[in-house]
Parts: sequence; structure tokens; C-alpha cells
Amino acid sequence: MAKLGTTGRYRALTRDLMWDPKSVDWKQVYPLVEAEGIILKDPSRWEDPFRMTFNQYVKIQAEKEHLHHAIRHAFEAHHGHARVVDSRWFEGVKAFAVAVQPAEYQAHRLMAYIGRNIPVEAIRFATFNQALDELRHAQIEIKHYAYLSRYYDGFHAYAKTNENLWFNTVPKSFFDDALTAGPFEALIAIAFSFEYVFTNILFLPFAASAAAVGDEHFASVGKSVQSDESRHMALGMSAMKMLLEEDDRNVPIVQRYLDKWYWRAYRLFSVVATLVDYYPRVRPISWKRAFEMYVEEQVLHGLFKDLEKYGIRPPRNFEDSIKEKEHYSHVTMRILDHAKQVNYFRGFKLQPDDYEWLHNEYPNTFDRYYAPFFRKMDDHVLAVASPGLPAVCAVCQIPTEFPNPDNPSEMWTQYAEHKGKTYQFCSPGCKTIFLEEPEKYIQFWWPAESYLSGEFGSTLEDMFEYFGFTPEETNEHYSSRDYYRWIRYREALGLDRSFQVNG
Amino acid sequence: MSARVKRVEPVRERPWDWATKNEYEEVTVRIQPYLHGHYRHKYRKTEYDIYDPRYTRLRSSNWDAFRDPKRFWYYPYTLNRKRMADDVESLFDRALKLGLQDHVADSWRRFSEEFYIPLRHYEYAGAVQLQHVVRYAMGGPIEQVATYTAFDKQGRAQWLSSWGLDFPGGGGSAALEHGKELWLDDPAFQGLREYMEQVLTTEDWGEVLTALHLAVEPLVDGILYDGLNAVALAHGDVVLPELSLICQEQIKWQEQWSQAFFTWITEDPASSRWEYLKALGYENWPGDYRWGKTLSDPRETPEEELTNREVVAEWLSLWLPRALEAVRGLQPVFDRHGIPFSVASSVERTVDQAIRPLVRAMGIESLPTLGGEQHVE
Repeated sequence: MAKLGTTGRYRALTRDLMWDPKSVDWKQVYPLVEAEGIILKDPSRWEDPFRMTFNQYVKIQAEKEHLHHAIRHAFEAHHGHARVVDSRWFEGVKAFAVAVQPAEYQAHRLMAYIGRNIPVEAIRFATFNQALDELRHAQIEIKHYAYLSRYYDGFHAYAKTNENLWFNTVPKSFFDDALTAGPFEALIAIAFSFEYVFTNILFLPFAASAAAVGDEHFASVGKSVQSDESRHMALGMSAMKMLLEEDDRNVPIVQRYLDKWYWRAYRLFSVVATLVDYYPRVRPISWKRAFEMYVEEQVLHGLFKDLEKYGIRPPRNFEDSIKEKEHYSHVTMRILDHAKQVNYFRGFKLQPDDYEWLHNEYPNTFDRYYAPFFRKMDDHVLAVASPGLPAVCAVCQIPTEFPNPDNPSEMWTQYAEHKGKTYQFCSPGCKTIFLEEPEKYIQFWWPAESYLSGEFGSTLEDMFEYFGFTPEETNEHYSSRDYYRWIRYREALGLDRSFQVNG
Repeated sequence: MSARVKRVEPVRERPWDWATKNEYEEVTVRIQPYLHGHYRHKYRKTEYDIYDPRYTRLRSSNWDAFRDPKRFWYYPYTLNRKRMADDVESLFDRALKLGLQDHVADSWRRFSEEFYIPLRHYEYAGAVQLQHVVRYAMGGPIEQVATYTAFDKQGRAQWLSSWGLDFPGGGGSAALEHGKELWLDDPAFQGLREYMEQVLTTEDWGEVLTALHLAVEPLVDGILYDGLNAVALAHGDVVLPELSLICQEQIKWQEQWSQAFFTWITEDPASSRWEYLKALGYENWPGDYRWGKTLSDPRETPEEELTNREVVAEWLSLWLPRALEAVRGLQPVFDRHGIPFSVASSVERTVDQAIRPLVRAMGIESLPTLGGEQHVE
């Protein structure tokens, strides 16, 4: 008997473990497999690209965990939070914390759903591992916030904030959309559109920003998470090719999913644009350049060229996202500033070096369209605050305050009627998504409507209680108690001193 | 001279507004959202929310109150399993180098090949249906133990496969193929195979946990990873007993948390599916404005008439007889290879030492299958 090679051995350990049921109907075991019209002929020939067994997984991940938690312990032991170059960075971390971490957790549950319902062992194996990875990401992120929460506002009731605040409905609607879709759509949504197209731009520039401002722990979170994501990206790619090659009739279905989820993911990442361009005071890269590098080059010019042979074209509205790259972070920051009095992370007055950097990186748009807005806050931080809760896009849940990138002095807001009710959207991309599945999107949870229905109680205090933070935790950073405390921490540690050298 | 840096006073001593006692609780409690999911399912269960208490008949006054006795979160779990992976690999490695397999009696070699290898399918099916539990169970603490347990089962399926490739007769992948044929066609395995298929079509996640962790698994695992060790040693096999010891550690944890879960849930007096909302601070919740009509006053509309204890008893009286029959059906595999082992006695022992005490601990007075204090026939 010839000894099996590595590949053969891997196959033997991980394939043919499921069987075609004999005593129950196959469709009872896989009740969702035919719902979406995807045809599977012989999926058993598909391989998962990473060939990860249980033993390999726990060994590799244990190494990563050792490294990462050692960095975390050092950060916590040495007051890392006081050592960043500017505490406003943590306002960005708060945004990331309370929005991204729940998304990781949702992805964890979602991966279990996909693996359970798609009867392809190559995919199931990778999704089992990924379901664990996503729980890992949620938990190592929570550990960072658990530490920061002892020193900063905004984190302490993240579960409530996540359940009830308008801002969090944005990532929640994305993952809720996938969690309520069929398993193949969920797979394309997350494994391909989210992981393959966008996670590089989520974790690489953000980890680089964290390192640049001195948040060693969060830099490690970003890098460690990204090392798992490369596995997830490979799954996304191979799963999509499998569906395309299994049957021609799958091609239009996959194209429809790509069209929808490209724009969904792109809109979800709007806040990341501000986390790259605004919150760090030392910036390694701009959103615009990161977008060009990770999305335009790698995805549009790389990946979609490869997919042409299957009859797949670049996703609908791709051009719109390219047009928006010079506006995206500024518009999103403007939206956040409009609503900073009802958010758990604060805006901040732009400083001279911010104006200078933004001017240099965005010579075509920043000074002309956006600097005047931010200047209004120079005298009074609430000068630009909008009263009340914002009107949001019925698909992505972001306030409908995006300008038309072809004509930035007019709004891009779109409208559609459905069953006698008018819905509004931030962009043509979101409007098209709505029109394809109106029965799904009319269900969206809108905090403003919930507030009016009395769910948040009758007073402003009740509402903040529901949101999970207090008015003192909102508004502007440099006039906040967080900034004041950070200065005191630095004094306590002697970090406020600077040392001259004669020579 | 002191090198002490001035203490930086925190602004709050505990990270979250809810109390946590340790790192495990810090990263587990409230990790799952409960309210305000945006959409409902497109294809099945279209009336259900993303996290909906109606996915099980069990009710809880606080879904977040369950605790894993071992407090596993990703970090300690992974480290712990890494040690096991190292142990298994070095066990197989040393055994191959020493040629330990040459000292195993032929009868045991033939038996072990036909018994252990098919059961990798049993482990794997459990892993697959636990993914269903991971998706639909309520609350981070519960689905988290299901997540790691599913991964363990997948790991054991691979360890059995790995052992099967090299050990009993060095049969390589042909041995695994033969094992699958037995699993699918040998009469001795058909009861267990059918049982696992029934588990795979069970939608209530509480019932899945009952069928797996209260019924079939104590019976099978008691043989697979414990009862057969002495027999293996008597036939000159030290590899399987060592592998069993490692697996036994996982099984012990699975039993611990399953007992903790079922005694916790059967003591819970919650009469409505919506009582857990109080624990979350939503005691005055008027219902979601979107579905107000379906859940007009959820706290006063229990859809389940039985108590949790009665529900679990009902499940057990369905699944336990099936499990007993399926596992007893394995006896011919032993007999045809002349292995002196009574499945019925092992089953009886497991019922006496594990299942009956647990049933009693859950406060279930009588279970027809167990015949009160009588021995199982």
C-alpha cells in the first residue's frame, strides 16, 4: 500500500465524511440548497485552497494568539493608552469598536449557517474554520475595548449601543441582510464581496494608522486579524469560481449577488475612509490611495479581468465608487459631525496640520467643497450639528447626505415608491438594490420611527439610556473630558516632558 | 529609590455596565445582539427574527446567564487544543517508529478497523448539526460552547481518520473507504446512522443538544473513548487507549457543560419566551414597532404549555429509546471478530452512572425508558 502524500492525506482526513442520507430525504437535511436556483453538479471535485486540518489550525492559531496577547499584556501593563500621539485616535477606535466587532460576531454565526447549509465539503471545511476565526476577531477586539473602557468613555455599554443606536444599524443591516439571505448569497456576500474585495482596505491601512499613532495593541489586532483574512479571501475566490464553473445558469445569479454586495460592502466601508483620513494625526496612507491600490488595481484590474472568461463583468456602480474616492472620507466625516451629539464617539476640531494634509492629499476636492464646512466648527463645535435623528437610506442606513460626485454641489439622494410609501436612498447604487428586493428592505429597523413609536421612552435621558451612553460622552474631542483625562495621564507618567540635548 | 510609576486611575473599574467576573465573561456576555435585527429570513421561517427565542421550545429568564464551567473563550480553547494536537501527533509518530502495531492481536486489529473508522462519520455528523445550533441558539455563552464542541468533533473525526490510515492494517485510504461502506450498509451501523440522520433533520436547537449530548453521545463515547481501553490493552494495543485519553478530555468537558446547561435550563421557571428581555433591561419593551401586531404583548403570550423540564423529558423519551437501540445494535461488530465486550452492559453502566443521575439532577421524576429505578432491559 503506497503511502499517501500530503494532498492525499489531507483529502482522506477531510472528505467523504458526510454521506447521502438513506433514512431521511436529502432535502430535509439541506432544506435551503435549492432555494436560490444555484445548480450543483459535482461539487466534490472542489478543493479548499488552504488545506487546514484541526491539528494545523489549532497549532497556527495558538502561535498567533500567544504573540498577540503578549503585545496586549505589554500595552496594558505600560499604560499604552496614554502613549498615543493624540487621544482623538481613540474616538476612531470607538467607532471601529462598537461597529466592527459586532460585525465580526455576526460573521461568526453566519459562517456556521453557510457551512451547515451548503453540502460541499471543501466549502464547509473552510467555513468551520472561519466561524472560529470570526469569534476570535470579535473577542480580541473586545479585549482591547475592555481595557480602554476603564480609561475612556463610549465603550461601556457597547451591547446596547449596538442594538439601539442609529450608527450601528449600518453594519448591522449589512450582516443582517446576509444572515437572512440564502446560503449561497451569504457566501458571496461575505466570502467574496466583503473578504476578497474589501478586507485588505479595512485592516491594512487601519493597522498601519494604529501603528503610526502608537496604538501598538490595535496595530496587532489589525495585523493578526488580517492574517486570518487571507485564508478567508482564498475561500471567497475558490467558492465563487466553483459556483461559476458548476453550471452556466449560476452565472447570472452570481453576477446579481456581486452587483448587490459590492455596493453594500463599499457603503459599509465609508466610515473606514474617515478612520484612515481623519482620526489618526499621523497618517500612513489616504483613503483615496488605499482605494486605488486595494480595490481599483487589485480587484477591478486584476480580479475582474480573470473573471471575464466566465461571463462576469465588474459590479454595477463600480464607476460610482471610483468617482466618489475624492469625496468619500470628507462626506462621511461631515455626516458624523452633523450627528456627533447623538453618537458614542466624538468629532473633533480639525487642526492646522489636518487642513494641510487633507489639502495636499485631496487637492481637487477638500478646499473647495469641504474645508468651509469644517471651518464652521472653529468657533463653535456644535455649529454644524443637525437637530434630531438623521433621515437614513433605506438600504445602507447611512444618512442620505452624499453629494452627486458628478456635480458635488447637488445631493445624490434618490427616491422610490413602494406600496404607497416613499423611501429614500443615499445613491443610485442603494436604490437599485432596494428595487430588486423591496419586500426585504421595507423591513429595515429605523431608530427614528422606533423613537416616535415610544420605544425609547419619553425623555431625552430615556433615549440616551437606550443608546448606552450619556450626553457627556458625545460632541467634540478636544473640549471633552476624555482629552482632559488623557493630558492628566500623560503628566502622571511624565510623558508631557520633552528633553533637550545640548551639543 | 522607587522605580514605581504613578498610578493612572481608571475612570471605571469594570469595563462594561453589566457585571463580569473574569476574562471569559468579559468577552462572552452580551456578545450576541437580541433586538432590532433588520430583516427576516427570505426563504424559511420567514416569521422569525435573526435571534429569536422561538427557535427552541425551551424558555429562559436570561439567555446570557449560562456559564461554561471551563470558561473557554477563543484564546484558552485554542491553546488547550494545540496541546492535544501535539500529543496526538507525537503519539502516532512514536507508535509508527516503534512499530507498535505489530504487537496488536489480529482479532483486535480487524475489529478496531471495522469499529473505529466508521464512527468518524458519527463524529462528523454531530459537528455538522452543531453548526445549526451555533447559528440558531440564543446567546453568546451557549453558542460558544457549541462552536468549540463542533470543532472538537471535527477534530476527533480527523484523528480517527488519521489513525485509520496508518494503524489497524496500514490500509490507507482503502481502509477509510471500507469504513464508509460499513457505515452505510453494514446492518450493525444502520441504527446509529439513521439516528444521526434524524439529528440532522431536527430543527429545535435544544432538541439537537438533547439528542446528541444527553442520549447518543454518552452511550457511544462511553464505549469508544473509555470502555474499550482495557480490551484494547489486553490485545496489545496501546495506541487507541492513549488516543482515547486525549479524546476523553474533550468528552469530559462536553459532558460538563451539557450537564451545566440542562440543569440550569430545567430549573428556569420562565413561563414566557420573552422573559429574558427583563434581564437585558428591556422590561418595558412595547414590542418592535414593525412586528407589533405579531408580538403585541409578547410577555403574556407563551406559546409553550409545558415547563422546560417537561419539554426535556418529552425529548428524552423520544430520543433515548432510539439511542439505546441504535447503540445496542453495534454488538455484532464485536461478535464477528471475537472481541469479548458486551455493548448492553456498557450501555447499562452509562445509563446508571451518567444518564439516570443527570435525569434526576434535572428534576425529571420518571422517564418510561429508564423504568424508574429499574435497570434497563
